[in-house]
Amino acid sequence: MRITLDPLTRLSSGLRISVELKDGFVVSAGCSGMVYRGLEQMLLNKSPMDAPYFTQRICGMCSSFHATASASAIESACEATGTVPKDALVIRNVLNGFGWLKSHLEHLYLGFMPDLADPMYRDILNSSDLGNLLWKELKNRYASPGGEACSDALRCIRSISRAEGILGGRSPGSPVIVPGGVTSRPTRGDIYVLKDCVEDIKAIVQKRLLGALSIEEWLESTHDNGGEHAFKYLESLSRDDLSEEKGWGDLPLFMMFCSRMLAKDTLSLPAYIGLDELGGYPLDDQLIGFLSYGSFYQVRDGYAPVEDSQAGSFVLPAGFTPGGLQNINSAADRLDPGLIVEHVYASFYEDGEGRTSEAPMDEETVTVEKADAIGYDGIKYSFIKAPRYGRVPCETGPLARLINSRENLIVDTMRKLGGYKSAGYPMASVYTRTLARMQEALLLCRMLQGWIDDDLEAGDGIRRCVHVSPKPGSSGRGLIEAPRGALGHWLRVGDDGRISNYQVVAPTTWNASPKCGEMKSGPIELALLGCQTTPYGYVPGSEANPVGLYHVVRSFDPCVSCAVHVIRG
Amino acid sequence: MDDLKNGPNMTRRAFLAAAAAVGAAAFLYSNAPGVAAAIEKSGKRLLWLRGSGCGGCTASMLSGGNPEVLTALNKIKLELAYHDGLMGQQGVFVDGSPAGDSGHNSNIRLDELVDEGGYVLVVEGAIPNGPEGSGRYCMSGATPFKQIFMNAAPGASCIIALGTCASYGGISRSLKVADATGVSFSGTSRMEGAMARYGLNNNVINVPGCPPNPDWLLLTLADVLSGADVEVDAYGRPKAFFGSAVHESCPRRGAFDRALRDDGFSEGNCLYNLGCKGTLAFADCPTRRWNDGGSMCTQSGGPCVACVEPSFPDAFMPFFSKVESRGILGDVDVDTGAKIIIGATVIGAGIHAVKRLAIGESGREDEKGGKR
Ligand code: SF4
Ligand code: SF4
Repeated sequence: MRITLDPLTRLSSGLRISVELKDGFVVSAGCSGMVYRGLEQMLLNKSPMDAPYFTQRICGMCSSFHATASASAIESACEATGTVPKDALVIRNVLNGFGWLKSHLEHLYLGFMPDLADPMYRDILNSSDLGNLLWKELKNRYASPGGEACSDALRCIRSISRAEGILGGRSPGSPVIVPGGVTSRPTRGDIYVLKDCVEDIKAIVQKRLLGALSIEEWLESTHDNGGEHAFKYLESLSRDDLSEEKGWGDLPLFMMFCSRMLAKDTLSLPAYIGLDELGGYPLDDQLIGFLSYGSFYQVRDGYAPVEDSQAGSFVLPAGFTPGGLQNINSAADRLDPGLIVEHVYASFYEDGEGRTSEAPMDEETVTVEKADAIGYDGIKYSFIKAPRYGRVPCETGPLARLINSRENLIVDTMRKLGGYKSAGYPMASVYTRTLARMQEALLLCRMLQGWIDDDLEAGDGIRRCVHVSPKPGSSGRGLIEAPRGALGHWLRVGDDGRISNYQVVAPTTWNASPKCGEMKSGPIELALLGCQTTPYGYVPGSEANPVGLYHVVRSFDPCVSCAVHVIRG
Repeated sequence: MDDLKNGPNMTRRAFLAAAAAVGAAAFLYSNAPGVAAAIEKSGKRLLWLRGSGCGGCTASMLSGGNPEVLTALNKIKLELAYHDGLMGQQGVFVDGSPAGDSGHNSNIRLDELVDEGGYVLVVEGAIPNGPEGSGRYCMSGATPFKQIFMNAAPGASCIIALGTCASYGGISRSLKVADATGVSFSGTSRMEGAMARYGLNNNVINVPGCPPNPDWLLLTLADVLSGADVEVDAYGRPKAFFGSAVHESCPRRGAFDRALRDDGFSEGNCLYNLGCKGTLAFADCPTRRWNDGGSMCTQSGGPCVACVEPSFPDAFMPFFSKVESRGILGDVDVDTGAKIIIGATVIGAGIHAVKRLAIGESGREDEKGGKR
């Protein structure tokens, strides 16, 4: 049986998923991006300084991240990264932090969680009292439209946008991130309004995700001290009342009841949704890795591009961890940007000279311009290219970041899952991916508060931008993290001072990548292999509403507008 | 539609004036019952299609003013019947055939809505015709977006082209091979817009902006649904929002008039020398402001890039070059270029008129003297 999801909704448009099932299990999977805009081609011969404003229009959800990556690429081409003033970097941190939190909330509450309120779960959970209680919570909170969580999230998104607007002029599409720094000069009054916004935002996030504990309490016991505290806390909560007031915020509720390992295996609870069994990978260092570029500048003047002493430049470190579970027991590998290449074997592009892969800066690929060449069932089936780190496809995003920073809650949860009675649950799954996004949302609240309370300064004498001007023949790259993962911009300036090559490799380019020249699947494809139409296996009728597949794909928070990129040589 | 005109208990003129004068929040809250009553009678549904774009228009609506778009739509009892980014359904095919019903399957849902007709159609993103006239650079549900649009347009009681891509082609039009256009315009040309190209002739209102301000959409919607004839300019934009230049009421206008112009970012004065195109951009950003009235581009030190104009972005790049520099007009002849950019407002004006417009009013040349 072949199931095709086209379009997969509740994400930025244009994603098609096609899977072949045999005896109820997915045996092959294809992931296609279906919209081609060609932003990089448009940038050829333009002024390099225009790139941040232009590339922020790649994606309406990620405008400030693209602007930041693009400004970084120019700063690196000008060898000016060490001179960008601290106060500019703080404002970039705050703007990116807000945008990042907003993106996580949009994804969780408008994209991912509504699938948990699918009526299919009512029919399965109603076999026990706890199940009925659980269903009531899922439906009241996540049904879209109308769920409480959805309207809380919308309120929070509005508050965040208001805060972004104060520093950024407007959101999305703020013009303040420019090569050399930022343009805005917040006043003391602005900072007070921002503080107010942060209180408001934190209150909503706290109520939603945690219910009873404060963000500080939760992070102190889990992020700072490890997953065991979280497991104990979950066990201590009432099971007669699953309301937020009793501590069952969205995070604890998800952490307990969307894990078969915790709810059923450990506590013998009659109600659970096994998202920890869903969307994992074979643990093979050659088949999958976890990649992050590092993000959020340390509060000081200047930063170092990733090839130098990057470790000290970013709050969230760059790194790479190969797929095998044992690798989380040692530190992450240092990131080597030289290993990043892209393939077009299965993508609607022709490689200029028949090479199989190229580093982004050397790429010369040609988009197919024949209508017949664009079909979704052949060897070529996507507008998304296939980036690889060395030869390894990589997952990128909150889970990869928390793995690479060896974040306590996530790493301990993964250890517990991976080591469970030698049977083992996959360490990367719909469950850990979503848990990582929730934990990161809480961490962002803490970081934002820090920057705004301690580091953001008002006053006229403060320098917030240095003059940069890219020289003919120079080139640079800007590697940062966006909410969905590793985002890289590469730029080359021609002898005439105009852009001669521009490349973007976005998070979803990694996650939704098609097969490469070596026939290795991209992360979403790989995560779909072996899946069934629901977390409980095949349920009659579920082929027409394969909730299990939705969970897997949406857990990556794919964004197709960002993912599709090409350059014409 | 006729009997709706009395629905909100307002004359059309009064409605427009009120809509333009206040933010969507104030307007919708004070008039919501009337607007809702009018809409309830018409049983209006909103069908929101997304073509070749960045999703920024939707993101802007969610980030929006006060209330954000979903609450606002709810308030005026307008049903968002189809929006691929927000709806519960998805397109599902089993062995190549559409599966399930409209409760689960977005493609079936869309077909049903189109068959019923009588909706307001919001289009976000441009409509690519390429390659080779196939429209396959943008597909959804195994169908080129251009076909989806052609199916949906005839049944719409009104089409709102949301954002600069849908209005004029915008960023998405910059790539020639994609052959993408806006709904009723391609750049400044009506002849090359999708409506003319595909022989369609519904009423289209443009709500440009890259991205657009949520107020612009909400108030235009309320306006349309109340049966008002929305007064538009030569580029199909409601005059109420796109009637005067950003420069006219810019928060930095005082600095401009005193010829205090910055040559570097974040210095605090007028951004004219840094390439601000506020003189050429017709939108009420300075009075309406963004994100709940907090700020706007030039206020935060970002030069206006004229994101609401039909020739955005090409005619306004390099973004950091002064308006009267020849360079900004690209390959276009200077005189014609000026006309294209500023359009009907300054018909016949050459580049000198642009320059006068931009700096002449202050009666003196820039003190720091055009360094750039
Ligand atoms: S040129 Fe730009 S910054 Fe200066 S007053 Fe006009 S709109 Fe404002
Ligand atoms: S100020 Fe200019 S660039 Fe900014 S939103 Fe208004 S028209 Fe667009």
